Amino acid sequence: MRPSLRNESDIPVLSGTRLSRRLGLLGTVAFLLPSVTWLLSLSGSYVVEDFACTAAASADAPPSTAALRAILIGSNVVLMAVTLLAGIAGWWLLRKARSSDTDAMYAFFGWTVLAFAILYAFSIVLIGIHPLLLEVCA
Amino acid sequence: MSGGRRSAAFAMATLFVVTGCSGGQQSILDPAGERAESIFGVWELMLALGTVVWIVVVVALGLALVRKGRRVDDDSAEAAQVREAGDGRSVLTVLLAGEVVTALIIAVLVVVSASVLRSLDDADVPDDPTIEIVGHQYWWEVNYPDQGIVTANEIHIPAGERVAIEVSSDDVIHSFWVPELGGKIDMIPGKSNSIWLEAEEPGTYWGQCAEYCGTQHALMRVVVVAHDADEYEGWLATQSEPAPSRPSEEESIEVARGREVFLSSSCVYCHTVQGTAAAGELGPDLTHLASRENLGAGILENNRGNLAAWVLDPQAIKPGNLMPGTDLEGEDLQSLLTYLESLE
Amino acid sequence: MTADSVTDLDDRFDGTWSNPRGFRGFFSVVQHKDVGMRYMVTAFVLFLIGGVQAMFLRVQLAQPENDFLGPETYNELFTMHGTTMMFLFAIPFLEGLASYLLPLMIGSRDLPFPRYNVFNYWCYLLGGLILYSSFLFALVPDAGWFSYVPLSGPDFADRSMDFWLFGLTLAEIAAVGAAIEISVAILRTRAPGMTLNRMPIFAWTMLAVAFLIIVAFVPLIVASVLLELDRAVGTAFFDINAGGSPLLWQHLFWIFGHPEVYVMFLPGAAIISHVIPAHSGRPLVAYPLVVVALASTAVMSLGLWVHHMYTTGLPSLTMSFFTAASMSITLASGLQVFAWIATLWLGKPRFTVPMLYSLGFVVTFVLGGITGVMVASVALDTQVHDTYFVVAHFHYVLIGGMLFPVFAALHHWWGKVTGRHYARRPAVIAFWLVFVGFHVTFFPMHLSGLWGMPRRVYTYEQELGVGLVNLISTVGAFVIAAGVVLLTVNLVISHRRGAPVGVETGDSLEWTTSSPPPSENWRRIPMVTSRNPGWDRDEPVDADTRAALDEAFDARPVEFRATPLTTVLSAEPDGAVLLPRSTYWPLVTPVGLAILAVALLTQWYPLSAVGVVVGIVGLAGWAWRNESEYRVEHVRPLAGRFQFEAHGTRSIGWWAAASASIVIVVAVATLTFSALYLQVNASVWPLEDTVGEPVRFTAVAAALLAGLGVTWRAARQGRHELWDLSRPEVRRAQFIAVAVAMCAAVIALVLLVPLWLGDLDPAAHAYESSVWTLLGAQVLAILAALAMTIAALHARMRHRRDARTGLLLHAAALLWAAAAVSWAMVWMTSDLLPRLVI
Repeated sequence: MRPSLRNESDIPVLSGTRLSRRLGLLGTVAFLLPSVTWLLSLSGSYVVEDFACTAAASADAPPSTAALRAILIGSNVVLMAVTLLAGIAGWWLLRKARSSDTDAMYAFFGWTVLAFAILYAFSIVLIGIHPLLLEVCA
Repeated sequence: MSGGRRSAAFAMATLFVVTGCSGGQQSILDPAGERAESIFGVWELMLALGTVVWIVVVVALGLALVRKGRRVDDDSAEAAQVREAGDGRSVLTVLLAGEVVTALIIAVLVVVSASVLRSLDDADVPDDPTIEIVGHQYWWEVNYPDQGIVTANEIHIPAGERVAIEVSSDDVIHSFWVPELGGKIDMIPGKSNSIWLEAEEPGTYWGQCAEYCGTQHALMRVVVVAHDADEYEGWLATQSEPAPSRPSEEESIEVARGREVFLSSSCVYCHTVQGTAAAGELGPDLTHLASRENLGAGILENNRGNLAAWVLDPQAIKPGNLMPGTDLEGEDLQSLLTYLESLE
Repeated sequence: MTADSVTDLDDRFDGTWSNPRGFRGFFSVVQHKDVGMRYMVTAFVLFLIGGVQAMFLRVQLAQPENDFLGPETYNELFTMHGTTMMFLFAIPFLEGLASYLLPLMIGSRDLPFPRYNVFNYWCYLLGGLILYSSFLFALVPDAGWFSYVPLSGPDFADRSMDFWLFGLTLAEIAAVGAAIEISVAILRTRAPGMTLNRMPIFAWTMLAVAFLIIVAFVPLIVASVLLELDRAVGTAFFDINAGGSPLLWQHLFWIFGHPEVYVMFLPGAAIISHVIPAHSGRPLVAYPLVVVALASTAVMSLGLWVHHMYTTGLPSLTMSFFTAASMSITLASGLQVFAWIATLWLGKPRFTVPMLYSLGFVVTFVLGGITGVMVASVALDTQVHDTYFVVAHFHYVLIGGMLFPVFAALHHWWGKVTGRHYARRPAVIAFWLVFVGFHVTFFPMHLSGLWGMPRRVYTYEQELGVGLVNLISTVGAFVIAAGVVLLTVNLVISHRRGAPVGVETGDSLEWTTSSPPPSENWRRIPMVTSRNPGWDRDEPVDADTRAALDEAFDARPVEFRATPLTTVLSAEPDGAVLLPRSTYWPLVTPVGLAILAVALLTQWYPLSAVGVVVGIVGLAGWAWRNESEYRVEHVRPLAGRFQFEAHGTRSIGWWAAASASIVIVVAVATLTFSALYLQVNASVWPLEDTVGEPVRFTAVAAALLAGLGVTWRAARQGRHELWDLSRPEVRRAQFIAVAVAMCAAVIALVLLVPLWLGDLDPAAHAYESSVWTLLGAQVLAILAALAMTIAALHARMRHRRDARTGLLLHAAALLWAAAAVSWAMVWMTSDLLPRLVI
């Protein structure tokens, strides 16, 4: 056999069926997504609050605290929704695994994605409630 | 495992802490003002919750270890499998329950922490007095801009009032901290930070620099002296006076001679005595040196012997501080000391 | 095949995998077990040195107003204690452990880039030597392990800080390299069948840790460079009088510093996740949840840095976001603790020495975690920050969370690594000494902190009332020291005289090879069918794949070293990687870097030219040697199907180049963050006009895109071809691409260098400092892309086949992409954003 550099048919398939490319991709994206939304939630909140307030202070133009508060809460709500969306993908993968019982990978992705989504959604809530508890740009 | 023994030790130590049997000079556990007290409340809550959580975890760990000796009625392989599956499920349930409880505790702590912070932020603080403190390696410059008072290492405040404090630094980063009155605030060059402190009762409250600032970070102490209203006004009045610049009727020849020595020595390059030609800015203002309780940023009692030792060889007492020694002798030294002691 | 020829092949296989011994071996061996062992031994020696420093500190603090040490000595010793333990012991030891264990755990024969691995070790060793040479010149750093400016800046610190900065930077370069090595190993060289959901927890953890190191350690390297520029060139990044900010250092340091804590703790936790199952005979409970826990711990650790800055006067809301983050991470840590307890609950725990350390770990770490929650609260932290309470907290977390697991690991894998038993009784006694001594030392520190004792004080006054608790701490420290000495002596003696081990078992793959493992780890590459391959050895495997793997990898290949490549998610074997044998080349460049550091330290600048030349010669020699190994007879597909030079992500080189590109982008992004931070905080930015020249900047962008375009396009040519094909038109296209890319690089450099070294005065204002530094970084990024392009040219001239050059052009394209992305950031930061303000 003379394998070409591109051809993937020469890769042996382990355990019967090959992991579907699309489901593998979905699993990977859903696996990473909650971490990304959480990082965006924290860094976005920090940047909006700190940079906006500092820049306003050094330019001597007090920002609209109501607007900042709305931005902070709104963006965190959106990010939480995206996180939960990943969780739904996890749930779907889990059901997929149960119905087909071929690949433990789907179950693994399902469980982990679900757990990630719940953990990070809760954590985004903890970040997102702070504009209600404390003054913006105090 | 010694889980039980350790938790007993922890409980005892906890008792020790809660009853505050510290007797120290600057304990966080002896709050003496509003700010320190509200933080102390957070500490008590966290200590209680934390102790319970730790004990629960250690007990669970202990039980998990003891459990291997449990009796099994039916030791067939099938029964073992059923048991295993049941165990697995119940353990997973307990594990998730543990997470939920942890999440609840955390949510409570986040909200409590934020609301304490908010109450500290929102407190009404009068503008007068506002005290500006500037950190130096290794002493504190204390300014009362409204009263035109400059002093060092001792901060006098009226008791029972919130006092606004602005801090910054002249060289490296320091941190201003008087534990019995409240948390610390960093003194950062090029940046002004503010905090308010309140002492309920008149008294002396110790503190010290809390951010490593160089060789003598350890001996950069500070005191806050809280007075009742009258005493505070009196202190302000005394401190606003400049020192006499020329010999007067009531002062002794010794003092006049001491002033000569002072003004003709290297002291004036670094120290100010208001009302005289001495206007150095590197070291503490000495205008009312004799009214202070301590020398060398809170490390020596202010008396003639210590003053002499400090003037002659400060490096022996506080090695690495920025004041060089003096080689004054005999009468010159005695006159200088008498002069410095006259600066009330 | 006759018996003779089989023996002959076996001998040749063994010969291929044998390593030179002695002096020659010391400088030339690249095999992961030797390098890992060297890392661990070096780090352990430094651990003992750091421990001795701690004993001096404790003696000084045993009583109030003690004069055993003067303030200067004390400050130097606590700085070196912290620096040594963090940078020279904890991180390198874990890198060494990973370097040793990972290939064994994931079933490969070596790490994917063995020479790079030893290169990193030399950087670490030389960095450590530079730092410790400060004792010879009485210039020991004394600004604390986080070296806050201005105390560490040009106005307040003498040359001792330069020793610190150069030593650490070399050690951090090693850490970043190790992270690349580890992540590629885990993603691409797992045993066939070791799908993601069967990966050992240690591998998951090291993958998370590698990610942390790349995104967090690069900022520290950048911060160190900025501080050194402030000190040596006079830039103004931290100078308040010229637009700089001392708080920038704190942000950069803690963006590194907090993840670093988890870089130490997470591998500790992973060790526990293997020790507890192995010693209670039951697989880890809730494996997917533990993966979630460790991965989210890693991610969340990136968002905790501000909790080291609660007293710096930031807005309350800003700080509270980080309180929420700091508290959330407890959920992740808690999940792991619950899983361990559940495993013990369901298993049959045996009180072995590693198990004792694991139990000690849980008890201690949980307490450290609880005090961690306390200091996450802004209000409470303003009181306990920078006191002995915090000192107690982080020793609970680091000794409890990292050292106890490391001791557990030493005993758990001792038989595997040395092939000998350690004596149990002294090991148990050592555990109790260390465990009891630890709590006697550090529990009282909570009290001394609460009673008002700040950290980093060389003495305290009688009136503070902390004399007794400090005396207790000092006594405890001696008990720990006794335990550590006993442990060390016991292990050293057992290494020489211990009884040979028989068959030992554990949950993971390394237990299926002999103890100690042979140089090649496995004569026959294992296939994995479960999460606990150490236990489930007899399960049936996919026979066809097994046969194909055996044909390629059962005591094969005999003439050169190789290990299989497998796919990222499902670990299907999709190729092979050529592994190098012993060589001196990786030693040359670190020596060049060390010469450079010495030149800068002594300010004898001609020497720095020597350093640069040695460094470049090292890299060139390395590249030459690399191409010599990629001979056509070496890269023939093994068993006709496992290819060395498949295209794109199927070749290992792609992963190396992609990692390098990520490092470049992270570094430039850090510089960008720094410049924006300063811009936001400065009242005037820039002083007059920006440096932007639209024509020149657009031309640079065009040149970079041209470089990217031609290399990318040429890399795609011939990708559907056979592995050894050589076609004139492909060959010509590759030559043209290389020529165009080199021209593009030269044009970009000609445009940038005069601007960089021209009118800019980096000392004038932080704006010019950051532009100057950004342009410098951009020049380096372009040089990296150029070097890779030259490597492709070199390959084109050395090999007949087109595939190899195609791969290197692909790698070059990735570096060109990094240069283009970084140019976008540089342009934006130096010109576009400041322009918005004017």
